[in-house]
Amino acid sequence: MAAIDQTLVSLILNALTPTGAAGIPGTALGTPVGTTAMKLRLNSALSTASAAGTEIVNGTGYAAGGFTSLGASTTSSAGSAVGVPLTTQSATATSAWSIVSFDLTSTAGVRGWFGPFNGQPIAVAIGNTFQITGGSGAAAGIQISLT
Amino acid sequence: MHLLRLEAPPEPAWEPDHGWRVLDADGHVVNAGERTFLVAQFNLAGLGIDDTQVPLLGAGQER
Repeated sequence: MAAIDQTLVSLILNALTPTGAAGIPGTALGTPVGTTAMKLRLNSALSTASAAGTEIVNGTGYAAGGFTSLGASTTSSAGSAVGVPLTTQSATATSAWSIVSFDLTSTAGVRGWFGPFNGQPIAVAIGNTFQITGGSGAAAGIQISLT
Repeated sequence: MHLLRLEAPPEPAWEPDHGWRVLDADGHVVNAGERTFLVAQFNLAGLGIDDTQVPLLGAGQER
């Protein structure tokens, strides 16, 4: 099968994930998603290749646009996946949430990656807290790779 | 039923199989899912060619 060189895979992954200082995108491939910290948006409907899903309403710890302060993900090397987020993200529902998908975006909402959560839809009742586990590399709750 | 509390739920220790979790107001895990793997792929099949080969310039499907 035709494919892509692993070094280039890492360049693309690093440019479109929060692998820079304090969660800004990497700059090895220009700055296609800006130069300020990326966001992780939560949706109540599936994201598609052409559009983000319908964003959940605000809660305690979650505001329109998505989680911020994701932390600087470990960079991809030799084609390895990038784990997001570095820092555990938490939000408490003030109205019931059904969480289906996410979009990893620039500060301004330009999308880099999207996908459904394992086990979606995830019901979060009022007063309950949704967390995405943070960690370095393979320990993070979301693993992004390119083949 | 749970006791009212003012402080935030405790940060859980890392559990390698859990990518996300839902905690109740007392900090108990009520739902959890494994890590989410997002695998994006370059799809050459859409070029109308055998995806075992990379087309030479001008040799692909006319568009």
